[in-house]
This record gives sequence, structure tokens and C-alpha cells, in this order.
Amino acid sequence: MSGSNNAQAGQMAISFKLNAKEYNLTISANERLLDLIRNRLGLIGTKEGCGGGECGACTIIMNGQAVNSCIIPAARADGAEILTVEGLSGGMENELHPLQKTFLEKGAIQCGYCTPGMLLSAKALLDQNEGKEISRELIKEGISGNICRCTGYQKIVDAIYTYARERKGIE
Amino acid sequence: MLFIPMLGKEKALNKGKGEKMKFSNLGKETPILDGLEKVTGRARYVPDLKVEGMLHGRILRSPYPHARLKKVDISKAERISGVRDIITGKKVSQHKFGPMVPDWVILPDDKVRFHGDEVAAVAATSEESAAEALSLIEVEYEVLPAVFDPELAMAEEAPLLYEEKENNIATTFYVHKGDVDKALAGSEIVFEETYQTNQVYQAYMETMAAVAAPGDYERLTMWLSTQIPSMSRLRYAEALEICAEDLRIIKPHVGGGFGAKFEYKAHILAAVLARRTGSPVRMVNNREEDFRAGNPRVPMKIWIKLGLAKDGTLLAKDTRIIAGNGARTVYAPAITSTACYRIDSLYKFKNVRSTGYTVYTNTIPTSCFRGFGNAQMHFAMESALDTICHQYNLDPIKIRQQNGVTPGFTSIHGWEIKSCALKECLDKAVEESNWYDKKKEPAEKSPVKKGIGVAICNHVSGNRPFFKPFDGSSALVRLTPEGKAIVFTGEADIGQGMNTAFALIAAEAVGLDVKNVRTAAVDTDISPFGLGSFATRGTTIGGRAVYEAAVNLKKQLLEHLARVYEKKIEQITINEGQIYFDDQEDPITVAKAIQTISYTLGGTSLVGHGVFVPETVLPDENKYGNVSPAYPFGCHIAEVEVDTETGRARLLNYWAVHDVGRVINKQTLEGQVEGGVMMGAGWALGEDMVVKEGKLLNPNFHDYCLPTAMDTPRGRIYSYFLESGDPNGPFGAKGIGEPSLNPVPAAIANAVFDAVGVRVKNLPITPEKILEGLASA
Amino acid sequence: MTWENYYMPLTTGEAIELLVEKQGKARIIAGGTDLMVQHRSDPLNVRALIDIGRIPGLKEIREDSRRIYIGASVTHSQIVNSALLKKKGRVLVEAARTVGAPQIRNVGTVGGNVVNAQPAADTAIALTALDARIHILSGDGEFEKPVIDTFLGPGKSCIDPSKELVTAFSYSIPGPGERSCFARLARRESLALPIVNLGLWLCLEEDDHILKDIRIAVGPMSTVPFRARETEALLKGVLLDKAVIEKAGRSISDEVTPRDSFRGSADFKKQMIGVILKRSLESALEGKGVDSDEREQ
Repeated sequence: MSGSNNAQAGQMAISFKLNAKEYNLTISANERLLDLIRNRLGLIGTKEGCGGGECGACTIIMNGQAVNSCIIPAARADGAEILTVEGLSGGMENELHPLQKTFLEKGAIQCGYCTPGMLLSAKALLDQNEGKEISRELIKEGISGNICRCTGYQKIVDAIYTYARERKGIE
Repeated sequence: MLFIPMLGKEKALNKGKGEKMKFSNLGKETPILDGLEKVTGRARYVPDLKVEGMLHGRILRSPYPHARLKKVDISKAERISGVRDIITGKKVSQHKFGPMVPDWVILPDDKVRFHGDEVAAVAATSEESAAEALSLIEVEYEVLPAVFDPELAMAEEAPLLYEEKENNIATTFYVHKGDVDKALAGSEIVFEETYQTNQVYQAYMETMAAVAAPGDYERLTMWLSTQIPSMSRLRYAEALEICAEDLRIIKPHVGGGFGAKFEYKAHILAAVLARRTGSPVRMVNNREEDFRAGNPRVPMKIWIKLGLAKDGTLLAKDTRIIAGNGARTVYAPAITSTACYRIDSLYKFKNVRSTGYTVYTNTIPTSCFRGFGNAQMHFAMESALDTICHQYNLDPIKIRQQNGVTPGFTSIHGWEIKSCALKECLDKAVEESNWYDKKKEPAEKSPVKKGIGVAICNHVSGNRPFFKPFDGSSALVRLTPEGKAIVFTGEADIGQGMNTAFALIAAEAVGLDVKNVRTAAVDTDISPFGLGSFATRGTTIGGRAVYEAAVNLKKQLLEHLARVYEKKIEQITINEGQIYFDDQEDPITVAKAIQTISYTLGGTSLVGHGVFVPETVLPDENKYGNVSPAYPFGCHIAEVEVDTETGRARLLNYWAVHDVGRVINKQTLEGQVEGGVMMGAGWALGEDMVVKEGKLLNPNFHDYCLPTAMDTPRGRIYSYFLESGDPNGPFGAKGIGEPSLNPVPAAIANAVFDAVGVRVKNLPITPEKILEGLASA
Repeated sequence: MTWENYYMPLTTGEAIELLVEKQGKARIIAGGTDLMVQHRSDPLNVRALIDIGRIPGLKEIREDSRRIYIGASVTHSQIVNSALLKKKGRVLVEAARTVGAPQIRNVGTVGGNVVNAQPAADTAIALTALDARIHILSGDGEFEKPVIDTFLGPGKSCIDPSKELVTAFSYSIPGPGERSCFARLARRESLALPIVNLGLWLCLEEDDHILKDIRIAVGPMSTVPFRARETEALLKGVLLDKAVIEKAGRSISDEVTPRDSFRGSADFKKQMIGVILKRSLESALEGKGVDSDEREQ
């Protein structure tokens, strides 16, 4: 059938940095970034919750910004710097990013399906507000693209707020 | 023994005066034990699984709500490269089965009954091939007249979904105790109203998913996103016409369920395709089909009539419910019966009557959703009481204190309320929310008005009639030669933190540090039978089985310690992983001792086995009989603001007080409550499956508006837990999952009424309805 | 997905060359937040996508002596965080902030929002209130027109993304007395399309509340972003007091012709547009929620 031939024709080479590692890959021109991450790289921490950019389960950080990888063409990764949940701890086995640690300690996780995306939205928010004090309202806005059906968000907001204050040295 | 069975009449343990029990592991904020894999993204859910040679399954769904299948032509689709199998109704057995009513077939060969009904299924080597094949299946439909409203479906002239089901009625439930007519005639206050609860979607973040793989010995392994691994094994064996022993169900991490993840057609289709092709088949719903063919909440129209004495004493309750079953029966009949009579054991009713019809319509089959019918009836009952209080100048707190059940009470249906801190829940909620001060506050001058509302709740912790053969659970606790304990249970943690609760219970009962205890993933080849996550039964029934297994393990451990260390059992104490001998200064660790013991036993682990079969009964023909070993209670108070110009209601603060029997893990309890409150708030204030001519208009997260973080209360959700110490629950614990949601819509509706004087009787409470109410005031 | 090639040109010239070369078989993709979703249910019939996200000039927000320019692939987040727009384009900042959620705002562009031509696209409403002009490049050269003239119907724009490339939007730098603000109502606080939305631009006589000029853009009140010209006319040259504001609210409710949808009935939308106009004018009167150049100085 025509499908496979066309797929050959639609290939393109891209290179990008993901979780501090350089990749040079040949991808399909019509591939989604989410599929590249999950299927090709096998990084299953990035979840598909809706496929339409409406739930945030597939959130990654791309060039410093939280984005929904389910509606980003993989081709756009070319030249980009990407962070997924697997890279959050800085690649250290058994080490956790303080946000991961706080999520864990504060009970900000239940089923865990939204957790990776939630963590990355939180990280992007904190990075963008480096050195600033962050209110609970700003945190709520920062994670408002990530649906969580289990927790009612309160423990997630508390966890991010706790870490944001610790980071600033506020007790 | 740490566990002291308590009679319900005895003083509850956490009321200030009573002595407090000392626990090493319970009552704390213990992070969930599987949090590390979740927070690192390593946790695997069914959609993350890859099995060698795995095919991708897709389902062709009906674009019509009711149509005869005249022809299903798969010849073009079969020619797509990569397509391995296509099944239609003509290719599969037409035997009937189903969880409650045998109205399921694997695939229909006669007609489709809802927009989204399964017509054919494809297995292909790639998702793209499967999708292409689907688009090439040619179906000739003869569109039939359809009916969407359950009340209209009961009319004589309505088209029938199943020829043999007169008036489209799937099941009827009827109960009458006392003499309702007489009691109503003698009531000084008689109140009558109709309430409606809408169809809402559970919206678990992981859609319905299965991987089915043929294995050795003609067996089939299924990895399921399910809340009922053991039960689905029995049901799927029936559907596949194989022996249950030839089916192995593994439940990896599950991304939420909230009642939806019971028996599911796509699981069965994956299994059929796997058996036919001899290859593993993956079937994962996309979000749209999960919306269109999931198992949403049973919508209900509830007519209620209450009789009261002038002083507010409840004398009679008469209800009639018409519930939407959708196009085939999942669990709606049980949900309807629950709506009909569970709330009768929240109040001390003497005369109750209830009729519930579960009616077929050409819409999505409905099923369990946190609250299981009790939530629907709580909206009606607790709204009605609020209106009565307003009309007759009665105090909404006192009327609930006055009529609510108390410890030792046996309800009109024979439900034995052994532990109950309902009154204390009301007191605590009133105190923490400053209820009476807030009630006295004058109305705001601005267009935005504040209001406060109360609702109470009950529920079960296990439900004997749910699975006809039995209720109960069994568990194993294995102590390895390394000093680690592993809990084996068939009960399904779907994200609530139940596995952590089990580990805490086992740790407490044996005397271990919970860090050295974990709960194994459910695998029916290894795990004991567990009915699963429903009826708020996990902690109480599953937990009690784990407790019994741990006690059994401890007994064995003590005996071996006595033997190996040449002590008497009475000389030995085990606490937090340390073993103390009364004639010895320094303790030894459990790890060291068990290693020594295991070397004397051929290297074995010690395995404790526990069974819990509650003394519950199947209700008799008049629905009399104690159905649950324990009943949780709670009181919620909602504070809202309502914009009188836009009609928009928002949560300001929320107080949720629950009688949980015993706090096993405070952190996960709070998590359940906060999640339950927001789920209830989403339902109350906007979630709605908008269906037109049987077609769902908003099958996505953009148009189906779940609460986001910005929709949480401006203030906080405050949760409190009272410990009434139930004699049946492990260490006295009762469940929390469903009671955390049951009172929410009513508490919010009552708060909205308090704010602006508008009574919304049909969920959700939309701005339009509030504005209409204001306009007609 | 259907396309076989995905191009990421670095200049507008390259982008136009590609469009010309592909003869209608290629189309522009900006952020893709709408396109990628629409494609799932209604596959695009194109052979190539031309991603304009790497063209530096299209990502700029700048001003010259007369006008403010916003590049077509400026994201909603860029608008929200723009110091220049916070001072001189409040309606746009407020509109952009309500779109989707952070992940959508980080990717979705103002150009995409306008070309997608939804009758209640928030930034399109804001640009309409600002009387912005759209700058378009095609194989035949560059041209510009009022943004409002590009909307032909729901999802229908006069801009053909297989032939034309939007490069920027521009509007006049606000002068003395000019203020703008944005308001919307939605089913929830985030990730929601508006039930109604409104962009307001007005110019007050100095030192009093007489309205020299006003523009009110609303959605979804018609098949396209809608200018409430009758209500504008009612308000022009009038002293803005409580009574006038009440009257304006009633006027706009009468003027608009929304449709019933599951986001709200037509009557509800009519009523609500009146409420948010009233509230926007009140806040303009109080000098709250609106901004203008001279108040910052």
C-alpha cells in the first residue's frame, strides 16, 4: 500500500538535546513529539491523557517553556532543548529534584498519571519566577493546564508553594 | 494484641476524654509507598506496556443511536497491509452475558443501540493500519427510531431496545417498610419535590486500556486498567467461554477509575482478537471514545415526599426514581436500588417506601461513579431537608442531629450501625466553619453574595449484594528472610493509596517499620481473590483481611522466635522492626531474627494467611438485612459566593468532617477528601455530558469542563477525621472514597440558596439556572 | 497525519518561496495548537507544512513612532509578559492571558488565533477593539488591511494559508485619554473557551468622563468577531455616568445576535455581554483594569 512508501518519503533528520543528551534521529515529518518521546525514545513518563492539548498529561519543557507534546510536531524539536520527567533529577539515578521530593512527601500524588506533567509545569513556573516570591494564586495559574482528577489540587499547590518558599529560604 | 474489638456502644476513641490508642505506624502522614516510581515517571500503566509482537486493536463504533446492521463489509479493510484480523458480530459467538443482566454480546450481529456502540474490531501491526482499516469497513445501517429520555422510554409508544423488555424497563426495585401513607397523613409537615441529577463522566486521566496476550498452556494473560481484577477474571472467562483458571489478570498502575473501570467491552475485544491471532493485542481508548463509550454516572429523576413532625422529626419518606441505564446494563440497577434505600440508614426513619426503575435508552451505558446512587439521592434528600428547614424555620444542623443515626442503632432495613460519630461530625463542622456566626452575617451590598450550606452523608464499607456469591477478602503477608514483608491482596489500588494503607496495617499488626513493607501488584496467578475497589470497601474489608494475615504471621513469628531463641512467647515483644525479650537488654532486629529462623526452615519465608468474611447478609425479599460490616458518616459545609449579575457560583471554603473509624494514613485520607470534594464541586457547578439525539456534543476536555487548579476554593478545603473505632474494620477503620463525594452537590446547592435564595433542583447549578431563579424571585 | 514534509524556513522570503513552489499543496503552521487538534478529526489535505516559528522577525513586539507591531508568530505568553504591551496594549495582554492554559499560551500565536477566525478568539477580539491592521505577505507582495475585514465566517478567514503569510499586526500607539481592557466569562477559570468576551477601547476627554471615541468588540455574538457599532454610537460624545453605563449594557444586549450553544443560550449570552460591558465601562470610569500611556507617566 501507499502508506509505507509515503512514510519513507516523509522522513527527515533532526537533532536535539533531551534530558541533557544529544540525539540525531530520522523521524517522520508528520510525527507528534509525544510519540517521538514515548515510542521512539521509550520515555513513558510523558503520558497521553487527551491528545488535544486539553489536559497537560503530556507536558514537557521545551526551550524553557511548558508545552503539550501531544500537539507539537516532532519536527519542531530540531535544535531544541527538551526536558521530560526522566531528566528532572538531572540524570542522577536515585536522586530526586526537590519538587519531586516535595510532591512525594506532601501527598501531591495519587494515581500518578498527571504527576509527570504537573511536575514539569511546576518547574517551568518556578524557573520563570526565579528569585521571586510566588503566591498560591500564581501556582494555581501555572498548573491550570494540568488536569488532576484525584487530588483536588490542594496538596499539589501546597507542595509547590512549600518548595518555592524553601527555595527562597522562607520558612 | 493491638487490635481491641470494640462494641459500637462503647465510647469512641477520639472524643477528647477517651484514652487514645498508641500506634507506631497509624494516624500519621505517610507518603504513598509507590510514590517514587510515580514521581520519576517510571510507573507503568497499561498504555505504557510493550509486549513482543503486540498488535494494535481499534474498535469501529456506531454513528447512530439505534440502527439495524444490514451489512458489515470488511473486504476492503482486510486488504490493508498490517491488518491481522477483523471481527464483526457475524464472526463471533452470540452468547449473552453481562455483569448484572445478560444483555451483552461480544459484538452484535443484529443492531447497535447507542452512538458509540461496538460494531467491529480490528487488530493490526500498527495504529495507522488499524485506523485505516476502520475507515474502510463498510456498514449498511438501517436507522431505527430511538429514545433518549428514560421517562419517555417508559411510554407505551416508545421504541424498544430489547423486544423482551417491556416499556424498556431493565429492572424495577421496590421497598416499603412501615406504613408510609399513614405516616404521611399524620405528618404536620409534608414536603414534596422532584430533583434531577445529570450524566457526568469519571474522567480518570488514563483512559480504558487492556493488553491481552496468549500464553503457554492455552492460557491468556490480560494486563488491565481495572478496579476489579479478580471479578473481571470470572466475567471475562464467561464472555470468552473459557475456564477462569486459563485467564491471568495483571493490574499494573492504574490512572484512576472512580467507578468506571469495571467490566468493559474493549477488554473483551482485545482478548478475542488475541486468541484469534495468537498475538498480543493492545486496546487503548482515545479520549473521545472513552467519553462516548465509557461508563458515566447514572442520571436520575428523583421524586421525593417527606413527612415530618412540627419539631422536625422525620416520620416518612416516599421516593420514586427513574434512572437511565443506557443501551445495555452495566451496574445501573444496583445503583438505582442504592439510591432508593441506602440513605434510609442515615436517618432514623420508621416509614419508607421507594420505587426505582432502571430504564434502557439509546445512550451510553451508565454505571458506577463514586457515590453509587447514594450521591444522587443525597442531592435530593439533603436539598429537601434544607428547603424544609427554610420553609418551617427549623435549624438545618439540629434537624440532622435530631434525626441522624447513632451508635448501636439498627436501621429500618436492618443495617447495624456499630460505630457512628455523625453527631460529632456535625459539631466539628459547625465549630470549624463558624457556621452560626456566618449565618448571622448580613447580606453583602455588592452584586456578589456569600452563602453557606450543610449536608451530611452515610455510605457503606462493603456491600453484600453487589457480588451475589459473597463479600469478603483474603490476603497473604510474606516475611522474607531479609526481613521485608510483602502484602499480597487481590484488592485493587487504582491511585487511592490503598496499597500503602495495607502496608501500614500489616506493619502495625506485626510490629514492623512500614519502610520494610510493601504491597505487591495484583496478579491473579499469585494474589488471593479480592473483589476489588468499589463500595468503599478496600480499607475496611481488604484491610481487615490484611490485618488477619498479619496477625497470623505474627503468631508464626512468635512461635518460631520462641523455638529458635528458647523463650516463652509471653517474653517477646515486637515493635517497629525490633524484637525485645523481657530478659535481655538489647533488642534484635526482625531482619536478623527471621534470617536465623528461615535457615532452620530450609530458607523459607514466613507466610501469614488472613481471611475476612463480614457477618453481613443478602437482604431478604423485603430488602431487610445488614449489608455492610461498617458504615462511614460525614458532614460537609460549603461556603460559596454567587455573582448575582453573571449567575456564577464559586467555592470560597469547604469543611469536610468524616467519621473514618480510625485514621490509617492521614495524608491519603486528606487526599481522598480533597479529591472527592473537587469532584463533587465539578459535578455540582458545571460538569455535564451534553447529549443531543443520543450524540455526545462535548466528548473532550475543552468542552467537558473539569475543575482546574484555578477552580478550587479561593480559600481551602479543610478536612477533619473522627475515630469512632468500628469493631469490624482493621484497627477500627472505615472507608472514605465515596462518602467524600456524597454530600458535596447538596452542600453547594444549599450554600447557593443561602447566598441568593435560588434553589436549583437539577444538576448542574449553572449560571443560567441561578439567573433564571433570580429573575423569577 | 498526512503531510510528507515539514519545513522550518528562517526568513519570510523562504516561506513564501515554499508556498509558491508547492502551488497550494502546502500551508503555513504557526503554533499549531488549533491546527494539530483539528487535524485529528478532520485531516488536513496538504503535502507540506511550513512552520514560521523560526523566522526571527515574526516573533517580535516593537513600536515605531506611530504604531505598535506584533509579529504573527508572537505567542500568547510573549504578549502576557511584554512590558511594552502592558503599558500600551492592555486589552491584548488581558485577552492573551485568558487563552487556554500556560502550555497553550506558550505555543499558540496571535497570528494563528486570527487566521483560525473563531468568532470569540480572544486576541482577535482584542485586536478588533484596537482597530488593528493585519500585514500579509504573498507571492504577489505585501499588503495590509483592517483585522476585522479578514473574518468571513466561523473558522473562515480571507487569508489563505496555502498562499499567504501573515507577518504582523499593528495599531496606533495610544494617545492621551485612551484606555483599553478585556473581559470574558467562561465555564471555568482556565482551559475554557469564552461564553462571551469583550474588548473595549475608549478615549476620554481630558479631565472629565466624556467619551471622545469608543470601540467595542465582542464574541461570539455573530459568525465573526463583532463590533457593537450601535452601542458605540450611543456612547460617543456622551458623559460616562452610571445611567449611561446601564443604558449601554441594555443596548449591547439588544444589538448582538448570538446563537444557542452548549456553552450558553442566546438569551444568556445577550444578558452576559451587557453585564461585562457595564463592568468594563465602570472599571474604565474608575481608571481600574485599564491602562493608557499617559497614566504611567
